[in-house]
Amino acid sequence: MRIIDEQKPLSRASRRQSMSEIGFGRMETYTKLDKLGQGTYATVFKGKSRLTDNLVALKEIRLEHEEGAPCTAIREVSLLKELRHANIVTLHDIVHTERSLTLVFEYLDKDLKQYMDDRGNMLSMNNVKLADFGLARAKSVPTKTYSNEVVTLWYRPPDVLLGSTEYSTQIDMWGVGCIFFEMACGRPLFPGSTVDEELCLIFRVLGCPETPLPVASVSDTLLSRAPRLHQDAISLLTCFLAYEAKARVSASDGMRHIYFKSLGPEVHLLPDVASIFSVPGIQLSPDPSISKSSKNRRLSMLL
Amino acid sequence: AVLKIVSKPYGKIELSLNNVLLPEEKLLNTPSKVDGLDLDTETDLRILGCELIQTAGILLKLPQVAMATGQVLFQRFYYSKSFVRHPMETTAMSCVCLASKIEEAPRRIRDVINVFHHIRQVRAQKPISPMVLDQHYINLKTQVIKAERRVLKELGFCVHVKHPHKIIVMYLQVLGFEKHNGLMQLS
Repeated sequence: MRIIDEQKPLSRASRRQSMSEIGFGRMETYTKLDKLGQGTYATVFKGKSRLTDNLVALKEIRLEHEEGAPCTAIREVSLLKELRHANIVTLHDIVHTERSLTLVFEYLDKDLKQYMDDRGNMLSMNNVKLADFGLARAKSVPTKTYSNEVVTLWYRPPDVLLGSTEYSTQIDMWGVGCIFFEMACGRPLFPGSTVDEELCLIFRVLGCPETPLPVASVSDTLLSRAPRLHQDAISLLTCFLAYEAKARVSASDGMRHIYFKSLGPEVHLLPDVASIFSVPGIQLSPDPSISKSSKNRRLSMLL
Repeated sequence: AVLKIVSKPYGKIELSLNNVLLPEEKLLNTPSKVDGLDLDTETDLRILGCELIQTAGILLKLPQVAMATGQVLFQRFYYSKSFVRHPMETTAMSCVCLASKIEEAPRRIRDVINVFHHIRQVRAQKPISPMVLDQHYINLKTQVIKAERRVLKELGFCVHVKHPHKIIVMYLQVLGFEKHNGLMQLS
């Protein structure tokens, strides 16, 4: 019944002890530099670790209100602690004091928009990483329903816009489709500012939910809006943009779509923590649709 | 029916993370024992703390999963810190607050303090009078917030508990016992 982990030479307590002796968990270890941004419950600073001299991002959550640690922070930390992935921002340290809770992240120098804008002149091997898990949720046996006030409006799926609260991972796949389009053509797909407007924009492309437009006409509309996307890409995009949540392609099936075939079979064997650029032959190159030499491209990163 | 989930502190969380099972020497040499507390008293305090969390949860109309989570947090905390140095009731209150946030049914610290005050009066069979909002109350609230921070720190923010209850119900459904009310409630 009782399991002792034999792989770890240090016990959890003594490991923690030695981490704290080095300087983890203390604000003095980090130098605050410029302010990077301010959200509703946190301020993000650029910082530097005195331990490693590396740049870090300091997400400072104020605890001035009277209810202890905010639940978004508890959620964000408890989920991020379990995630280790080459495309997810790494949480290095937590500094919890009376007045604030500071999360120490690896420093990412650009957001996705800036990254895409600069793609022309920097063919570097940088990975795109996901950050900000303040509204993330652990997945388990579904029983209770959630609020429908979730997900940035532009990326919110029609079922949730129409009031559904019985959602699961499929709601994210709609958003993946929207961002896929946005990365390809630099414009958001459905930039509504109200729920009604958002639905109208969606209906204009896909037709009404009762009388959906045929796939061919949806493909034509999408193709005319994003000429850089090829037929395979449009086919993947329509798999994401299914009205019915159940009909939307799952993340793992999506990765096996023909669109990604040019990356070769090795990408499916990649460990979580390895970068896609560690696979031989995969690198960023200028937009293939300009040269039209799509035969020998081994890249589908849309850059 | 009130569920009592007390006597098996670690029996019900082996499904969550891979490091939640404690080695035997940790279960036997708890921090409280190191501080000189005898095992019987410690067990009593653990049971009392879990009962307080359960009763408070009912009064606060929390979903049962929040009480179960609060009890797990409470039990885990006292395998890392001692009852001698960290008062049981304050920790129990902070576990209720924390669990209500984790299970998405947040309750105000003020409400939690009031409910614990009420329970204390009922247990002592004293006349029921409301909590006075004096300096004592303000101190207590600060203590609860501090205790919450301590629990988060000791558990390293690993607070998502996967309870076996839903899975037991699922197994019972698979085995065709879903009509057997006794078994379903027992889970």
